[in-house]
Amino acid sequence: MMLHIVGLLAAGAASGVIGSLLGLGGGIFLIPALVLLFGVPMHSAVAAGLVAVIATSSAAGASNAEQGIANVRLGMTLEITTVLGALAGAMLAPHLPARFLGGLFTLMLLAVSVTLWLRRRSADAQLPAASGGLLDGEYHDPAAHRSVSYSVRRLPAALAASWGAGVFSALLGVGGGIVKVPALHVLCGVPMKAAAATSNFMIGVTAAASAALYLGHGLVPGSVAATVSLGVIAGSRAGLWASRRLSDHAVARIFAVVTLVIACFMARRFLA
Amino acid sequence: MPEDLRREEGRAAGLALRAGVWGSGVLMAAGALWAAAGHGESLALWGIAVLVATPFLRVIFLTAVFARSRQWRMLAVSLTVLVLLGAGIVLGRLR
Repeated sequence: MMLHIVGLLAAGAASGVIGSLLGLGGGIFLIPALVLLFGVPMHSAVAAGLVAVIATSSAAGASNAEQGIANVRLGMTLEITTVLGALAGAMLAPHLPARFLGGLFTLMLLAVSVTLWLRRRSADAQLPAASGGLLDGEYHDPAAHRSVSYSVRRLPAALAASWGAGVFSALLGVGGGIVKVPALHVLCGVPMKAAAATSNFMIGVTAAASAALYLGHGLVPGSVAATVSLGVIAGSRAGLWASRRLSDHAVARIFAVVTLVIACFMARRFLA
Repeated sequence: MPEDLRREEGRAAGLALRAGVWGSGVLMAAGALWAAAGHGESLALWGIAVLVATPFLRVIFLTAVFARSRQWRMLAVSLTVLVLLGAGIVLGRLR
């Protein structure tokens, strides 16, 4: 019993760290862990995973929004196409070949991983500075000992990527953050930590819409989800602590490695 | 002036999220112990309900800030998000 509780807290803490450091929901690790290690039925594990995403988004988002690391206006704007994508994905799901999409998604993850790993440090120095636009961002980066300001390039690309993130998350149960973070960073010129924080800020809203449905249908496993979420809240704080000490470059490399691991998970699930 | 607005938006979002995390955290901790003692899961589920409501509260807080500071474009954006979230829940219930 005690071991069970400690295990759930630890699994939650791990996905909280991933959520607040990298802007990913962490469901792809958490859901199999709940099913395989703790014997939680699949649909309950999915519900608990959604609740965990809300926990990391809210716990890290509070501090990230106050400090301006999460771009509140950009996040709000992209939430429109994310939710539209999720609705489209939910409607299309029965008509699309999941195996093909899973394979396509895996290839995309491999490309993202390689791109982020090979990206040069100097690439970030050439990012456009803030130019007085509606979606500009500015924050202090304690690891770099300076304040960072940027403007968002290619907003349509970010809107499209968020739509795709919504579709993939509805179809495959993954892909909220893992699509948005690299798109915001590489295509739109948002610094890595700001991209992760903005994604983390957004994922709670999309997850809350689905979680409300699970809750309404009585499908959320109360004490399991509550225990995991308490772990997530603690893990999110640890992730914030790490984020303040790591450089953008280091965060991008960690993201590349985690993306590679997720690509392997997906390959096993859809191509085996 | 735009910088002050941005800070105010960040504070409003932060306030909503912090309140939700603390409120739900206390309820979930009490609920998990209550369930472990064999009294059922209802308290834990209340904690989760507060957590699930938190992102909605955040969007509502930001909508209020955008309205008060007369940022019509951002107000339209946040109202659209609210409408879409509502539509998602209604569609999901029908399915």
